[in-house]
Amino acid sequence: MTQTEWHASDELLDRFAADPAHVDPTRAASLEAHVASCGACRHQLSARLGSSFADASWARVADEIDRPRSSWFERALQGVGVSDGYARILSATPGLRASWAAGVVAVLLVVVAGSRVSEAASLFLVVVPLLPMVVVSAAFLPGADPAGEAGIATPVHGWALAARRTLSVTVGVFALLALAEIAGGALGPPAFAWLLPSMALTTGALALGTWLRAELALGLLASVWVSLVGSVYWTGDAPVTVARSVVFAAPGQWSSLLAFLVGAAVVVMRKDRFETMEMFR
Amino acid sequence: MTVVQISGLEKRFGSVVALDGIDLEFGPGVNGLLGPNGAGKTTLLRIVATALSADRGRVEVDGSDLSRGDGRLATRRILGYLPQEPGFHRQFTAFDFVDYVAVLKEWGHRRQRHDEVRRVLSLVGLEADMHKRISQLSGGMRRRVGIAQALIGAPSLLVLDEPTAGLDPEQRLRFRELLGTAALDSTVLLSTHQTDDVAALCQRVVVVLGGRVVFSGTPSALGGLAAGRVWTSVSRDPDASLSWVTSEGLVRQIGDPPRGANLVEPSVEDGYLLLAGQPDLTARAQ
Repeated sequence: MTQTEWHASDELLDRFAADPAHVDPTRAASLEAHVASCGACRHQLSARLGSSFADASWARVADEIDRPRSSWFERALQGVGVSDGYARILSATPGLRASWAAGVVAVLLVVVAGSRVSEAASLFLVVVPLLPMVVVSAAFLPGADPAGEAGIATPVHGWALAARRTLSVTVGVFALLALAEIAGGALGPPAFAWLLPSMALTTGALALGTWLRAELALGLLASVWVSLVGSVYWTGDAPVTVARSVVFAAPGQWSSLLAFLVGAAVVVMRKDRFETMEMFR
Repeated sequence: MTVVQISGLEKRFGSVVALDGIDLEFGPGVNGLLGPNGAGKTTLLRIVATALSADRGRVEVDGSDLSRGDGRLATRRILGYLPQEPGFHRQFTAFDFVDYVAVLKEWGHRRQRHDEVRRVLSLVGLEADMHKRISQLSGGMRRRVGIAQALIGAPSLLVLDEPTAGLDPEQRLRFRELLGTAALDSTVLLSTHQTDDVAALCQRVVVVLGGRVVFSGTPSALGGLAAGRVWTSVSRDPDASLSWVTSEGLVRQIGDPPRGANLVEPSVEDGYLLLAGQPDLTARAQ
């Protein structure tokens, strides 16, 4: 049988034209091969599909050819289920990428240093609570958003985007810190003592950032933290006192929890500030 | 029909008063803002574009109150905004940048978004350069990328801060055509230093000086403020408020003309310069 002796039935052409996915794949492939060489069936199918199908198909092909290639980070985010648009937002924010990289490097340095010095636990506990705060503050520095002022006046911009950006960077950094804590079990007790101070400092930086420039808020809180821990270190009898001091014991942890809750309440109350350029001065 | 309604608007930056009790209404068509640097034009546009909050007063866009979150969101959904300094990330291509802004404008479907990105980039004549990095584009081309992102979704309110800055004469002409078409279905607010853009494009012009509105009317009415006060002569008149040599070699002068002066038809620029230089006329124009 030659190809011109056989013609596709009206029923098959109708079903294929309605939606090729509804035709058995083998029959669909056979039909596609057939219409390439049979003018009569090609004509019948074209009449059923109309020009909109060809236009849409061409637009799909053109977009595949012409669209820019996504970055590896964007593809990785999409690979773990992040939507196309949100992956684009996160991967396109230089402030987030830079702060992420800084966070990773800082954690590695702390872990490496922690394994080589005698005051490992103290060093870890002093430095680590600062990292999430630095990472989050970097996302609110001027120029952190690649669209700048044009991006601020868009529907997606605002409190919800700020919260998502904050979460996306803090979750990652907290996960890294947790791994560092687990991997370096010898760093000493108390386990995860850095967590509440970290959360307090991070929300504190966001809350202060609704009044001050992001870098000022960061500098101020970092100074307060280092002064507080430093005063314990220099007034103690031995270096180990930092890890076992009141800052990381129950009274300090309760204070950190309280500071976190106050900071979070301030951020929620002043969430309108995240919608305008005042927050990105 | 009023689309943007502003009443009692005030904004300060420390001790500097940027806006001092602005009352304005804008309707469909092209509305131009004129004023010297530091007059408050950019602050006014930023507030209307929801990028900045007001200290006092009320701004409504299409009935939405911008002091409320839902009002800002509703406005952002109908808005296209070109800031004075868009702040491009220079490693982006023109396509990347406009695509990124389209994501922020809730264009979730990737292929439809890409089609829209191509449409607006071709509107500003960048179809051949859309995949070039922004750092490789000239200042005028970057300005056109900024204009393109403002046009995403054919917004019904366009706020453009000095859109023609850096454009060459041919691009400016193309921009005027583009804006003229867009303004058929939308409200356009633009600030500029180019009085010829105002004369060519705007149905209405507002002059802002020192954070206050000192004139609001048609471009011809602004030019009319200088009627009988513009003359030409072969030499500079010491009593003229302003004078400059024209391409014909004559001295064009603005002020109180001497007896027998050769009066000429005033332009929009004449009216603006006279207004900006004479506070007494400012009071009369209000």
